[in-house]
Amino acid sequence: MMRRKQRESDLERELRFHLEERAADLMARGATREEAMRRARIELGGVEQVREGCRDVRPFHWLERVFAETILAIRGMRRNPLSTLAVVLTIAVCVAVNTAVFTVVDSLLLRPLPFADADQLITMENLYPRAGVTEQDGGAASGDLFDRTGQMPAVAEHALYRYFAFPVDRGGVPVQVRGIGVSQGFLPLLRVRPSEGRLFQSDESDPGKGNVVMLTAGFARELFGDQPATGKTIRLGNCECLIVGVLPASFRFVTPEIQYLIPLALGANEKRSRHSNNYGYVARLRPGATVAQAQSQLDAINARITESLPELRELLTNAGFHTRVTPLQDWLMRHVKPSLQLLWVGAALVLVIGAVNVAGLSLARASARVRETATRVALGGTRRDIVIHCLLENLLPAAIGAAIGAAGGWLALGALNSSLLPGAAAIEMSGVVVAYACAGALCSGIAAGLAAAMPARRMQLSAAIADGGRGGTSRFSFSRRLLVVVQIGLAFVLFNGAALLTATLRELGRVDPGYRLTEVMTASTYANSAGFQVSIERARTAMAAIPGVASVSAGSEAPLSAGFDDNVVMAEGYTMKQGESAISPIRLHVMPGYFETLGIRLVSGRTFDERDTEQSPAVVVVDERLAQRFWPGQNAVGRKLYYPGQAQNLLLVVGVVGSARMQNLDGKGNPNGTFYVAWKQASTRRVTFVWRGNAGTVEAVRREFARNVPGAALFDIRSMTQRQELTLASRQAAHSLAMVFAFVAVLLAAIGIHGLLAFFVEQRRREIGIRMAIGCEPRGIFAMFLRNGLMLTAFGVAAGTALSMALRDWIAGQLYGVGAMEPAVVALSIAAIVFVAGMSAAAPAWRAARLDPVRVLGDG
Amino acid sequence: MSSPKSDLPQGTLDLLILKIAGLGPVHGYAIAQRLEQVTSDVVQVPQGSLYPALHRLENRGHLKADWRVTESGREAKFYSLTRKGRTRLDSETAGWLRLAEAVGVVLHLKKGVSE
Repeated sequence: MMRRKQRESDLERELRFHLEERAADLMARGATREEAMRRARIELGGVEQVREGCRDVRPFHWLERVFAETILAIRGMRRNPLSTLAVVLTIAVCVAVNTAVFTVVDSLLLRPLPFADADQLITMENLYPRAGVTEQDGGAASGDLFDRTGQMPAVAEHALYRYFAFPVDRGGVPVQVRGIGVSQGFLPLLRVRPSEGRLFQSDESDPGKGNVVMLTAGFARELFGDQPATGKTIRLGNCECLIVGVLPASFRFVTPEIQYLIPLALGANEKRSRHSNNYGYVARLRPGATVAQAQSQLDAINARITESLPELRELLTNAGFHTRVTPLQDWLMRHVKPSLQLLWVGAALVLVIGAVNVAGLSLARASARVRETATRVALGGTRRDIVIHCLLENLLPAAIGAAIGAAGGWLALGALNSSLLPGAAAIEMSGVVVAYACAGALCSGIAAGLAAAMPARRMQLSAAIADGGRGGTSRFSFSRRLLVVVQIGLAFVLFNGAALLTATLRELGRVDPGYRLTEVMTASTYANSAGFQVSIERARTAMAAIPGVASVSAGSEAPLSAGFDDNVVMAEGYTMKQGESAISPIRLHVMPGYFETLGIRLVSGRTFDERDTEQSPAVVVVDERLAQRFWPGQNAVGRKLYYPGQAQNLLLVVGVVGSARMQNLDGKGNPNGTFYVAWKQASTRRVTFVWRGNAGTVEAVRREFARNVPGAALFDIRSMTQRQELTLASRQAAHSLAMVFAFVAVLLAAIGIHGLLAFFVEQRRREIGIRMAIGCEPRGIFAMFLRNGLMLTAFGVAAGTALSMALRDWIAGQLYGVGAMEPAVVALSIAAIVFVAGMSAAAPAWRAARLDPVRVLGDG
Repeated sequence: MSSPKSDLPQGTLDLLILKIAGLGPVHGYAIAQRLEQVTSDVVQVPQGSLYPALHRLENRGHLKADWRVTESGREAKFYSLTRKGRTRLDSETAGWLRLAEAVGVVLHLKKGVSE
């Protein structure tokens, strides 16, 4: 600072010396003092320019320059607090939205899974699209591991896993704890080493040898605190398991609910099992190998095996059987990817609208300041200075906004985190995210600055000064109009998208799923012992006596569960057309009273009752969709079904019930319907109680369960309404975000159009005065400006509609019950945007109409 | 007015300044006058670029400056050549003379010589 002052005063003295010496010389030749000084200055060629030239050659001069301009920019911000606040808030909101959304996108889609060389990890799932088994519920059979290991040159390692849940005693109460059973190579494949203890040994995957377990770090700490867990035992269901190792704290696979690993018992039966698909499959590509190579090698293996199974060949071919190889990460995120991408685009659009607003504000300031800029240029400011000035003036508020926004985004993340998504990956903010959002904000600041600086570079000085700022209008106004049109268009796209999601949720809320949603409770458990079937029945009888429980039953699943079992069935006497696929409908094991408790409608025949026992003939109930498939237009009661290869065990259809949306409310699940088998005639490990009653009955139900089924855990205790909410939760979260986006976008667009019209009015005060003076009524003035605003809105809405059309295929997958360009929704969006834009335009138009011509013209 | 003057060739202003300063400590105005006396009929020295050039040479260490009292009793900023400046002056002078000589030779070529 001191040096700078010293330098400035030295420069001043040096130049003064030059001028005075020169003047003295000239005076010596007879010029007057004034004349001499004037000529001296002219010869030097502009004192201020020379001064600037000298400053420019100083080392680090640009730093000083930036410093000085920063001070100027801060002063400018203080002079225009409102416009600065608008810029800061706009950028803050945009950055907050983008940080939050991009954090999720980054954590789930972009960042690799937390395993070494995670890009080599793949999964393989068996699909039977024409039988109704699509990517929603594909899997692998245990035999696949043995068919594929060592047979695929592109794949180095293979492993299977399967979900388990066992009751674990926690303070006297059995609690259901989830884990996975894994084949021998699972952890080495993922390159995970235990933080304590050892991996499973090869003989531990043999049946009967597997009483060993590895715990996650979190579960080990929960059970044993800081003590080492290795060598201790834990009771999982009926098995006293030896803890051989503890996983590192970073281990996370598919869901954070996984608390332990047990070795899968893969005996002779499992090695031969194909197409039962109860397992998940992970594999690791060899370095340099591609998914496509693995896919073609797998296709060849499948073709060879299918050829060797004559009894299944036709069935598999007709079902469209194939195994799909997918990068593991894509597969894990398959459910959230579409909605996340949608939100990502939404957030980016909000950022664009925000940037446009900032650019508009900056242009407004620049054009109001044409005279000031011209004066600076005339006084020796170089064009480069002006550009630096404009840039800083925009970057400073943008940077402040970005900082506030990043903090806000971090806070908003908590809300997103809990509601939106599965916890397969830890959702946390990374430097990349902050950089992404801040880069967005700074780019908009730079763009705004350059936009404002551009016209200054081409400015005609004398004209600009003479005009006094009014003449700036035409140069800036086209770009500002364009910006407002863009804003309105994008706001329309976001508003329309949010409205479509709202309509979708409303439609889903109105859906008749085919079962009762109110006053029905559910609770699940898993089989834990041989006598399980019987004790479940005992528990049911006891629960029926609880006051407040109107009816109670149980089935292998209740509607809207996470997973359903499906099974291929054939109908006796039904001849398939050439190439027609067998179908694999959902199969549920149900006790008597299941349909009545859930309110599933009986169409014909009867439902299950106490007559259906192990000894009585095997019976099934089918839903209307399945009945329609096998016996279109005929009565299904009395017909027979059988499982492929078991044609001697016929299942008699005793009843037809209404179709129910088991997997989800939008009906996009299994397209083949459902068949129900009698509880006592088949066994299931999964049990879900359903009872008619309110939440007040839960404690009594729990008590009866604990008394009758000792050692088993009751979990997922929810009402059907809660199941419905859970099913819709991720849609609900995406919808809430879309609403926020739409609100912000419309607000920004409203600010944009209001600002532009206010600016027009300001620029045309004289013209308005003259018009009024020669007889134009205030109404005419009002209409003139309003028309102006509505014209821009019309262009914007037209552009937005076109853009929505272009994006419609993309959003269609997220919708239910409404088209992507549903006329009623589009009309509503248009009306809303026009209304908001009209109101924002009306305010400045109204002010214009209220101008007093005498005062306006008197001002000059 | 007199015959049109040419602009100073790029980079020669620095050389001329170094040369003048090499003759002894000198202030800006004196340099301007020297330049004008010596070259006024031939080239146009833009006075406006003299001071930025002086400051640049000073910042780069070719010139050093100190405040002294002139004969007329006023304080002025005097520039003198540093060792580094001297080296540059010598090498540029040599280069310039070589170039001028070469250009001169070419320009004096007579018709018959090349044939």
